[in-house]
Amino acid sequence: MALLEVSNVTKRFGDGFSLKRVSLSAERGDIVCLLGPSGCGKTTLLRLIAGLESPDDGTITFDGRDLDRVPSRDRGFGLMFQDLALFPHMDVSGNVSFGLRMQRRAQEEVSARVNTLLRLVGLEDFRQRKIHELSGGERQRVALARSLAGEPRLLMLDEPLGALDRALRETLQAQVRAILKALGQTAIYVTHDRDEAYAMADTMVIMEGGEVVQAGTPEELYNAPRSEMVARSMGIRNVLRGQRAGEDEHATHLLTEVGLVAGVLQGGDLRPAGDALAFVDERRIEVGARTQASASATQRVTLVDGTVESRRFHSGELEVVVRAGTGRLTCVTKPTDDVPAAGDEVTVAIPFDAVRIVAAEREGITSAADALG
Amino acid sequence: MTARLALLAPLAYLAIFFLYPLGAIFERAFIQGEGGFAGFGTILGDSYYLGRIWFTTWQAAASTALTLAVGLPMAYLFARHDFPGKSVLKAVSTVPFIMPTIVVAMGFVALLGREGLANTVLMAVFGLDDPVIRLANSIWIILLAHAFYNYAIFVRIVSAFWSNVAPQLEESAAMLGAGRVRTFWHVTLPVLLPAIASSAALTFTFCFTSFGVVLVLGGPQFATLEVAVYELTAKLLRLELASALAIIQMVFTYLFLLVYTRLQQSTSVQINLAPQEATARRPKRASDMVLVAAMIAMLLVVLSPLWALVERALSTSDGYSLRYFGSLFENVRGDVFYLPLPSIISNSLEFAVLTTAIALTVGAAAAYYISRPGRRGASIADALLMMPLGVSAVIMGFGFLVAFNRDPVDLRATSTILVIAHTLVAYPFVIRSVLPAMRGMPQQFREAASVMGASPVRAFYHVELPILTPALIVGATFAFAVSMGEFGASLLLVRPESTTMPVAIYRMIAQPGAENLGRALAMSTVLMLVVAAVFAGIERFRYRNAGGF
Repeated sequence: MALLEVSNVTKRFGDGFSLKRVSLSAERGDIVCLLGPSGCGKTTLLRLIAGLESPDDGTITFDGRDLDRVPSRDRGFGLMFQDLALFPHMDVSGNVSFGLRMQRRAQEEVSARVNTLLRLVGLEDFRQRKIHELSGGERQRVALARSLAGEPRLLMLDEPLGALDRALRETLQAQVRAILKALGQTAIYVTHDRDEAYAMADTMVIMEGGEVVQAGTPEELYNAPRSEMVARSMGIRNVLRGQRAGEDEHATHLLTEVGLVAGVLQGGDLRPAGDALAFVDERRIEVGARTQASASATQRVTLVDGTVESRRFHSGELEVVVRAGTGRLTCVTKPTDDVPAAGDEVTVAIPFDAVRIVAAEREGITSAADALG
Repeated sequence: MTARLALLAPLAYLAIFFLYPLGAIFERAFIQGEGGFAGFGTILGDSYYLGRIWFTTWQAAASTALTLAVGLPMAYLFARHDFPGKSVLKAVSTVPFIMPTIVVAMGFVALLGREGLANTVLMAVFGLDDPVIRLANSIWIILLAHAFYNYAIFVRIVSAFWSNVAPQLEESAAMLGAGRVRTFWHVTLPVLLPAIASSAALTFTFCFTSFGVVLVLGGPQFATLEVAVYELTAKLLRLELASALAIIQMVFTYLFLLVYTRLQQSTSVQINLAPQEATARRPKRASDMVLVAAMIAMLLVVLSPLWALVERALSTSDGYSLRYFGSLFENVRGDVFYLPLPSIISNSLEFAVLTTAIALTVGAAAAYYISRPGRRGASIADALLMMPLGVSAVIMGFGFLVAFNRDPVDLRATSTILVIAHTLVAYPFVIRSVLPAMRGMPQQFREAASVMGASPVRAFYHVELPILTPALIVGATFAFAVSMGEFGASLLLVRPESTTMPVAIYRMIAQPGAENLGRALAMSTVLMLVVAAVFAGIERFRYRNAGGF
């Protein structure tokens, strides 16, 4: 059994569901990232685990103990709020020591612990500073130190870097992860930012509409997303939806919105004419002038005709979006002279092994189809 | 659940000490009056009372216009400029509002009265035999006193709003080709209008229900509705007419307050707000320095009634001396009801301390309930609890007389009745001072404390209370000042042994003679200093603890 087990937790607010039968678990020392759009229930889930709300249904256990009747102040958890909630009338050390004082620890111990934590977050000279005298990044670090001060058995962080600019956020991500790992801290980290989730997570939990859509390591989710939403959350740009049209010894063929595409089926079963998703690696497809090439089968490449919709330079590469059939394909390529411009008629070459195919859950129909066999 | 319990005390207070006396007034007016609506018939058929309604309305309008004319430039100065001594100047400029009405009235007597400072100086300088300024018992002295009394609140509201309006609004108007005048007319003024209008509505309401200033400075031909109610009650003993007139005045006041509330709601719509420091600029150009100098001069003039008060109180027939002050300790006229100065001061202080304690409890409990998010009853409770603000103190005192004059609650013989009345006037100020702080308190503070192991009691004590303290102090200050200066209700309810400073001052000027006037001026000076000392102490306390939030 994992350290933290959330099982089938449901929470309603007003008429709507905020969380629908959510389950997740966290192992000791793991950083679990909750990733999902705003309003998907991430914060509600954190508040339930923290004991600031109670679930309508389901159980939350920690270290084998049901937390149902345990008030938040007795859970021994830490929570770093989205807007930090630093107390404005206390200085830095007053904030960091608050939890220790609430636990009635000895004065010398409190003082020593505050020093340790401020050193950990690199603010040892800031003890007497007022909160309003700190920069955004400094406040973030004070809030982190405060939430770590009581040696929480579980630390929760609710979009802790949300308000910062990009460069600072990236620096702090690395620092926060290093600190948490150095302490062996079990943590749940909520974010809506994919890059941040990649930077922080040992395990990722993708949420949407109050439900957990998929959970696993970042690699697992990237390699085998079970839905378009998960694929897009993981940063896969070319997601094609289609039906199985046939197969040969090299590939499975899928009829998609850009036409017939061949790729490699990832695990699992795919029924004949079953719904599937194809993820196309944008760095391995090539765009060139329209050809009549017929060597596709031997070179194990699918050729798709289309029109360049846009071309944009980004971080040393060119991003070319091609409109084909009723869909789009994004290709990323080195900037050379023969990269076509917007409006050009082109042929896109897609190697079989740049396409991963998974069976799709067809929303709403899946269970009925399953029932029919 | 606790929030509901918190509402219980304020509502009970309101029901017993406000709604019940109000009911008694209605009973007098509608049931006990001869022939049901007779009181109303008499009043609406009497050209004297119709005249009072008209006079009350237009003097309030004129006073508001004068307040606007004085307040707007000053609001601009405080909102858009930063200069050395600004905070001192700002504090000093709010002094009139915290001064008791009777002190303000005496200040105008001291400055512009027949034997006032202005006339004395002018006569000495130009060698004249007769006083040149003949404002005593004229409408002008009333209007000036009203402007003096209200400009501070106008400046506070408007400059606070103005300083939060980003200068980019004006700058973009300039970029689009508008000159300074057109920018002000088409951009700045429309943006400020809700704040200006709401503070004007508040000023109008205060002037409409003005009592002390009119009673002392006006004379019989300038009676407002408030004064007329007082005279019907205290002098003519026509309680059914007083009741009818009181109800008419209440209807007007609630209409004005309704306008004020509506306008105030629209000021809370945020219009591209910027932090205050970013909008003020240091004066650089010569014209700015002139402006600042002019404002300082203006403040000296504006505050002149207060220093005239001190000067006149010290100036006796044999030169400057403390004789008037000394005579406050002696029973000069052999009055049976004489109380020495220390007793009167201690009466006032005692009532003020009790009032502050009760008003703070009642007001904070009410604000706590109203501030909880998502309470459907909150705005109703807010409106209900604000009702005493719309009923003038004289009418409230009158209500107490007719309601608590028989068993089971005969309070006339006790001085408790004064504390109760003062609290009724004071606690709405506490609610208004504390409410923004309570509303602005993030729920996360309590939650953060809870996650870190604090019980609800410790979370309140260590986190919420310290953050609310400055607002509670402001509320307490208002309650204290209101009680110290309360005049209308006290005049009707006070008993000889429980005489307060404002009532004592009024009793002195009701007696003829320079000696009595001198003593009234001396007593007013003492009252002014007591109030100023309390405020100065509290301002210092606030600055030390305000921190930066």
